[in-house]
Amino acid sequence: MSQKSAIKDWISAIAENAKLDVSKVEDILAEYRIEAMPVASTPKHLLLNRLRFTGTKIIAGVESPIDFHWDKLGVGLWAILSGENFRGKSTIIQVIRGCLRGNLSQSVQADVFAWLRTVDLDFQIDEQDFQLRLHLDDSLSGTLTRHYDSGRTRKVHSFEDEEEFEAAMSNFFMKHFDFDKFAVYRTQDEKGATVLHGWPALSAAMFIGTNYGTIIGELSPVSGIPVRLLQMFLGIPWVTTLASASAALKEEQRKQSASDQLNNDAKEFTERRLNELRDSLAEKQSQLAKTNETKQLQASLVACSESLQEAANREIDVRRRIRQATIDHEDAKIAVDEDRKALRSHEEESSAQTVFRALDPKNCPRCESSISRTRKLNEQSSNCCSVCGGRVHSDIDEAEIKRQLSSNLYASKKAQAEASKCLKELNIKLDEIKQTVASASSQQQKVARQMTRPTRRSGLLTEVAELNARIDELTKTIPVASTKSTNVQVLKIIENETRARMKEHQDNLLELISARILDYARRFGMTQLDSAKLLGNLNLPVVKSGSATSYGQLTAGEKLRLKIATLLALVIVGEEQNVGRYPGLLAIDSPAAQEVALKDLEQIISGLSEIAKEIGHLQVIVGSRSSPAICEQISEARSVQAMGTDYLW
Amino acid sequence: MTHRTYFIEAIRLLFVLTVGSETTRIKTRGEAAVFSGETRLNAWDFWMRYPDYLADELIERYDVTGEDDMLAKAEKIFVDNEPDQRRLVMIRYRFGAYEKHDDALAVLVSRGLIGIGGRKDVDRIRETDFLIFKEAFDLCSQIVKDEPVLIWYRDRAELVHLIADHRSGYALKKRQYERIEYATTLLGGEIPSIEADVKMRLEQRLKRPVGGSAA
Repeated sequence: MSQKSAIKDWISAIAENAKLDVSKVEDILAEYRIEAMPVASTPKHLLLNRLRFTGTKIIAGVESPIDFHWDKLGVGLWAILSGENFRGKSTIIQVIRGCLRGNLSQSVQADVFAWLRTVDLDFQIDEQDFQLRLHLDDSLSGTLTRHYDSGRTRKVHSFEDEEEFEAAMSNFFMKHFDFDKFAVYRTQDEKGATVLHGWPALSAAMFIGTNYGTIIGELSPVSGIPVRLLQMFLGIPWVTTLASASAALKEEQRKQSASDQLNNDAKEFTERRLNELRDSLAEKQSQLAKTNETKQLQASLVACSESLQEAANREIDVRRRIRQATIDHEDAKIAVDEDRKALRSHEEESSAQTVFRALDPKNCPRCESSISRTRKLNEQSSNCCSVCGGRVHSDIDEAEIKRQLSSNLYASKKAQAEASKCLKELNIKLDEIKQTVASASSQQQKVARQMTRPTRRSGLLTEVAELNARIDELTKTIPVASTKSTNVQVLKIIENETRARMKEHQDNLLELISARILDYARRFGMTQLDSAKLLGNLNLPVVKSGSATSYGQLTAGEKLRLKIATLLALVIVGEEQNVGRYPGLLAIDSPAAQEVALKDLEQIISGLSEIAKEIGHLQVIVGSRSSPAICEQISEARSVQAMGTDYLW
Repeated sequence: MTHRTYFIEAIRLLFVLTVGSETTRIKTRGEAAVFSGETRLNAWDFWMRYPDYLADELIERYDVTGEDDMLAKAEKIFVDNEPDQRRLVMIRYRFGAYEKHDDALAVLVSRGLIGIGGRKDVDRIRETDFLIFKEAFDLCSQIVKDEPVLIWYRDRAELVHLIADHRSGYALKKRQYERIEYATTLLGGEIPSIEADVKMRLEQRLKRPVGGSAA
């Protein structure tokens, strides 16, 4: 399948699974910068030719010049040997690493870095010659120059400080090895971010130090970087595409998750606000129900007015009757007075009459002369007055008159008592009616006040309408639980389709690599190793002396053997399949004696010597304690050596 | 006016004359006592016939002497509704109340109870004295005994005597004139009641709310 048709097939598969147009899928791929790279470019090889560094070292206050140089390096196994540890082996490998990485001050120990004045590294990349020249005075400066066969030179980079140096070396090697920065999604503090890794991570894989935690490189497998390195160095098709797709998916999922959280918060807030509004609405509606309808109020007012009018009319009537009763009572009182006066006058007059009738006249009231006896006798016989001749005794029945006057007085007293009683009753009635009038008047005023408060009811109606509108509006804005974003779905499909294609290649390669690992590890002295199987996640289950175990359970010496074996297997399989992109350099700094026995190193170097020959382009530089066995494997010409307690530089 | 009213008027004058008379050493016609002057008789009679003016005098006496008894007597006049029941209207004439009593006096003279004395000048006014015979005093005693309905006349005459306090007819007339003048009676007109005014003065002294009924 050609590259073009492979890409077409990939996009079609994504479009079909995502039920999207191909153009839409292409838009999404472009949006997330996921590039289809199904086939790796041809591998390139790095070869160190010459290393030189100068300076002044100060040990115990004694200054001595440094001038280390190692010329005419080439493919195959090269060794840095010393009779004892701490004789400068590591520094040489660290200077190489610092030059390639572009961070010399961090690669080399601080005191040694302070001693250095110049560092030169000449190297080739597929027959092209390059020279790195560094000056370490007050600060780091230098140039990277290409040398052509014609003797012509071209300055590729120049740098005035270590930051520029690192950027220059990174750009230079990434471009020449045609590596892409690879995206790794990293989770930290519950947040995630996609981090791009480049030359520092890739170059670190070329140096095996004393950290055997992971089988490729120095970083923990958890970081995801070792697996990417394996895939990159193997040059497995779709690797970078998968890396980009995975990182994009994780980033999108994180955003989705954050968005979901925001959504949930918003929904919770909205629902809480809605509940508050609904409570308010219920309260207002309840208040509204209590306010009377205007019509009811009007009817009530009419009824009040009628009952007030009726009571007022009754009051007027009673007052009129009271006036009349008062007049009647007064009249009765006057009648009583008159009758009493009449009776008394009659009684007094009767008494006075009795008094004076008993007295016969003695003298004439006119002339005061005595009344004669004759006249007195005449009066007795004729009943004619002895003075004037008129009738002396009245025919009037005094008792009858008195009875009549007494009867009059009794009647008038009775009339007065009745008038008084009537007046009293009317006054009580008046008090009752006054109360009725006051009550009716108060009720009327109350209703009238309610009628003059229409704003309360209309205000409530307005509030209820407003609340209803706000509830409607908020109900519409309740965030619905978002369906998974289309992009997340599509990215998942992209990841799946890409992984399927990559896995197809990778599984095949991993099988070949596993076989090589077993072979090389045995040749490094692990003769008891029965099987080793490298998995896609960089797990390496092994069977040793019939027992299943894993890389992590092994001794330091065994780990070192497997680490070297894995890297070499990776290189050889990549080379054989013409897909491998390992830069071609492997530098191994052997550990201290207490961690790995000399015998282990002898076995490893013995194996390396053979294998390096089998892999034509490979350059292996190993730092180790010297031993007769090692010296047998590596000629003097392919090594720098410090015998006894000597220093290498 | 009938003989019946002469009789009751005669009774009233009989008690006024007997209560208001004074014994004298000069017995011109065998009289037991003498009532001096017609002016005085009219002044006494005015108080007999206008209980409200008498009550006014009792209050006046209380104001001067502080005798609670005077206030009690004034109050009783109103309690018995006397201003209505007992008032007998008199006419204002010149400087006081005046009425000729000829008919009633004739009843007393004809029964030999009193005699009309000689006229004499008193304070440049020609006055008539009334001679009161022993029979008049005897009759008064008999009336009190036999006709209790008439006892009021004796009691009232004694109260008027208390107020008149041996003052001359001229002095009494002057005193009454002040009060009648205050009542702004037209000359010759009926002397009006001053009941409401006196009642108010009484209530003030009894420390009772004005307008309250004494009855």
